[in-house]
Amino acid sequence: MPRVSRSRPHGALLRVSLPTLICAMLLALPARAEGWMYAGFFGLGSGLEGGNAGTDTMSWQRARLHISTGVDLRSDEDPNQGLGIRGVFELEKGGSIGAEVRYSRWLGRGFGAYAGVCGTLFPETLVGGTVGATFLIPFGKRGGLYFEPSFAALPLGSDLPDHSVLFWGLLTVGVNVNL
Amino acid sequence: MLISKRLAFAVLVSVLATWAVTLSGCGGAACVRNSDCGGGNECSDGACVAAAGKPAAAGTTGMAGSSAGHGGSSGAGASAGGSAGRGGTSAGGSGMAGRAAGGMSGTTSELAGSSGADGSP
Repeated sequence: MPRVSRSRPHGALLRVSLPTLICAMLLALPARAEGWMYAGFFGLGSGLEGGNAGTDTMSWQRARLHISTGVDLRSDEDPNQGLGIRGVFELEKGGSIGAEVRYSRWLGRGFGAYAGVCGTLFPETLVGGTVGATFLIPFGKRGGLYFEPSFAALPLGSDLPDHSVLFWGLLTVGVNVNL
Repeated sequence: MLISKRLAFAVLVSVLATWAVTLSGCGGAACVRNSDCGGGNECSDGACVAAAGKPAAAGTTGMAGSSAGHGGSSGAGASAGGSAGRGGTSAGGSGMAGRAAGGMSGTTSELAGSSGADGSP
């Protein structure tokens, strides 16, 4: 009775399954366990700027007109909260360049609140904290208008008079685009 | 739509409040930030004043030098003997700013003092 070799079926199996396995591993797309949603913001704002400037009484004046532009990042697994980065450019009285980093939490489809650190970096420095709210009026899926009232207290920086804290009550109006 | 109307109303109230506070000049201070005062000045007690920590302007330094030089000159003018002339040299040389001008004045006074010493009986 002729003896059948058992190595031939195993070899064929290897020759087929190994390349298939390698191809499957190389061609497979990475799993999308978590992604980021980006939204761009561009707005103009102004408001009130106050401080005691070393005196006993608070003084208020119109805050400098500023441009605020930046992005919000939100995880698609938890879109109710995110991080935002803004560049802030004051346009009056010589101008200044500043920034803001914020943690935002969306309490509804068109309403959110945030808190963060803000200030100016050049030519003089100001550093403080800010809180605010964002109201979105969507126009389609891609974006819409936003209104952002905010309040900031800035106790640090070279732009402050001695023994003074600067306060900003601002309203920023602009457009946002979901990227 | 209701939210938009409320939002528009809130924006309107904010703008009007800002306008009212700005027009009323609440507080009356000329500045609240150092950058309100322009270069070289700072905000202190609600008013713009010359910055204390910044280097003095060139004109101010020149005036100090001139003053030292004049000290030397006056020494020369009052000199009848060599000691007065040396006093002039000292005054001229001690001018921290505008050293060249002060030094020259001192030298002149010293020469005047020397000539006075030579000429005196």
